Amino acid sequence: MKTLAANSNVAKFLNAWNAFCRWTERKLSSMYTSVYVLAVMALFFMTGTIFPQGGEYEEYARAGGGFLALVNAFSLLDFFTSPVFLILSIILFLNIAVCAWKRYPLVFQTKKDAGSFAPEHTIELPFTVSDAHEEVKKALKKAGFRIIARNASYAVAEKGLPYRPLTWLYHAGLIACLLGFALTYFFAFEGEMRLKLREAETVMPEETGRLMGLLRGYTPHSDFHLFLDRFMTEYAESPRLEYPSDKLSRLAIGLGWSKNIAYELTENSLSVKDWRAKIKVIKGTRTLTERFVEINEPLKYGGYTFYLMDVVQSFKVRVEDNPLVLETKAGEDLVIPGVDEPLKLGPWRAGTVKRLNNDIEVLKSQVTVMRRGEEVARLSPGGSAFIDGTKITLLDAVEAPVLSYRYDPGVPLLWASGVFVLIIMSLRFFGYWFEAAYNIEERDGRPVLELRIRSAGLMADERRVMERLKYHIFKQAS
Amino acid sequence: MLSDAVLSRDTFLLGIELRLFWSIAFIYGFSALLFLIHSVSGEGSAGRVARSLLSFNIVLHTGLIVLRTFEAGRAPFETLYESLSWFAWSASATYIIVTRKWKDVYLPGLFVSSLSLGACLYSLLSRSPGITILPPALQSYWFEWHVVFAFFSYAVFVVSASIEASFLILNPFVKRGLGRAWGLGAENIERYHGLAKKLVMFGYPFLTFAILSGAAWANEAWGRYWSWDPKETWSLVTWTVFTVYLHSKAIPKYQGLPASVINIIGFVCMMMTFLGVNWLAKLLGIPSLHVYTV
Ligand code: HEM
Repeated sequence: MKTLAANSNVAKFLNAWNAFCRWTERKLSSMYTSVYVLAVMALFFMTGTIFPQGGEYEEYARAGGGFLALVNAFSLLDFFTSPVFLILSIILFLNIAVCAWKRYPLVFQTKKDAGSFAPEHTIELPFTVSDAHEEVKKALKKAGFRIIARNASYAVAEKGLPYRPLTWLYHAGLIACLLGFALTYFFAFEGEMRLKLREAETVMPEETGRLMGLLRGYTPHSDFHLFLDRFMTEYAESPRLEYPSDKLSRLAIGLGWSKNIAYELTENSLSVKDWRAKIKVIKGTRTLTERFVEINEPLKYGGYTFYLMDVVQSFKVRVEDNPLVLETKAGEDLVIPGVDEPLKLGPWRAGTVKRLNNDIEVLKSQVTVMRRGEEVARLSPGGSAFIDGTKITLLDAVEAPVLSYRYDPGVPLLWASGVFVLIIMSLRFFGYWFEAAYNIEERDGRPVLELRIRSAGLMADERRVMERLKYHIFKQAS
Repeated sequence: MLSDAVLSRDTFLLGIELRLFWSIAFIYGFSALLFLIHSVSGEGSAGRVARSLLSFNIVLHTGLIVLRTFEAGRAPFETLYESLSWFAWSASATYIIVTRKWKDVYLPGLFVSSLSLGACLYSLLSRSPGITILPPALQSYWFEWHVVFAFFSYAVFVVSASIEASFLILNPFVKRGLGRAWGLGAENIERYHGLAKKLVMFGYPFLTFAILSGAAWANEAWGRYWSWDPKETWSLVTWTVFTVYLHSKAIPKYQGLPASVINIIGFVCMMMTFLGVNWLAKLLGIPSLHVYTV
């Protein structure tokens, strides 16, 4: 008895499970689901732009941020890695995957059929009944169609790029894109390193990807060092525009009533045009590779990509003849005994400048010394100045790059699939596709072509294709 | 040439540019007014003149953009001052090109020319026209492609939303047989409405390219292809909303009004991506890597 009851419970459970699986599959293969999921996704993205991502909860609360309970419950300050967001992403992934899997046979395997056939055009054919089939086929071929299916009541011909397989393909490409994101999410990591001129630095990431442990054997190696050989800054002279800020004066200039506008050059009209760091990858005494790294031109080596992220200017200063050397960075407060209020050093200007008339000059290396936003002195390396009667000497000034480095195995898959999606989608959207379902009827002893044309793609013009078809039919007859 | 001569030449050219730009803004305003007169009264001649004026203005605006390119010696869409001008020009030009077979339907012209006027006035009154050199982060071959394709898609979405809104406004009149004065009848309104979807289909791959190229560029410049920066995220919102729109066009239940509303929401998101995000970032104190384009 007991076993019977247990068996029926198991059967009930299995039935319920099967029903649940069928329901899930049905929901996941539905386009309604994709519409809802994508709509919620859009709302989630918006949420992520309203709350400062990466912010600290305590800081947010201290700054008077609202919706504290929600922020806490849904990790709104780190929303794009929160469980809610991840669950929705997984549902979207399953939605596309199940859709693609269920639609695969429809798109690729079954013989083409145009569904129910309700003709929309009729053409009286200038052929005999016995020739009509062959002649129509010929005309269709000349108009660029290929016959792809025939059943008892009608035939189907197609022209152009078949849009259903294309639609299917770029959805499949999207699956690969999502897998690329997943690889990034689980395995990518990054770090930062400050290089010093003519010194070797090692890559030492503080943390690795979430699941990096699984890929122990494939972890990028870092048994090499980066050596900063040279660092250069290029400036360009960049004039400032004298232009009124009030709207009426701007209108007056536009109407030609005022000439209150002029480009001007001052001593400080310099903008950084480029930073270039010559970096060598070395192992022992061997140089494995070397190149100039710039913003937008990273160095790829050993599975890592090294990017020029920032530039730090640092200075060594001596006060009077004190053997103790003070060290400071550009923009940092420098407190010197005997000098009222802190000083700030920077910016340090060294390198070349391209003047407005295209002349290239080497800048006189010097740093500005500021107090309360006002310049109080300029120092070249080895040079001194007296501030409030205190002698300050610039011993050394160094400009060095900060590199960020990243290991991200998701990137190649993402690029490949992204480009694939884009190409296939463009073919589908910008191309053309026609499907002509047709049948030849006999009316009063004369053959009549019954036709229905469907089309897809921005270049598809049904009227033109009908005209071409008619043209070939009547041309053949004549 | 001496630096002083370069400065006075550039000042002179900028003076000409500003006068031309103001004239263009006035013409957008005038054609918007005429489109409005047509929209309220159904007067065909007002619509015709408005359209011709807009076409003429596009020629002038093309000249302005060429002049700016010459002055700056680079693509003319680095600062917000420049981008707004480019936006007004590309939206108006797209409108004139796309609707050349629908010369008697003027209502979308009211939306497009008003938006162009707004963009020009915002640029002229609130932004500085000074030419600055490209900061190192923008010196990339991705810069032109990324921005040009993004703006192509923006222009197309503007026109699509204008057609969609016009359809929603005029459809009830057409149903009562009163649409003639506004260029539409029961026999052609659906075909006209079809233009809105075609335009989204046209713009969608461009937006996809813009996002993809932006990610590729970010990967080279910032070391990460995606940072969830507000501008990036809003572009993804726009893309997702237009994906929802295209899907809803394939679902019979949503094909009608819901899809039209989604198209217009897509346009609003696009405007958020282009402009709103700068205000949002400032308003909420969110640091945005893209804010330097302001
Ligand atoms: C990130 C997710 C998705 C994106 C970006 C996307 C994109 C698109 C786009 C742009 C179209 C319009 C193309 C056309 O008119 O042929 C489309 C059509 C379609 N999508 Fe998606 N899609 C996504 C997810 C899905 C999912 C999850 C499903 C499964 C239900 C789905 C099923 C379809 C189908 C069946 C069509 C064809 C509609 C037609 O025949 O007109 N899509 N998709």
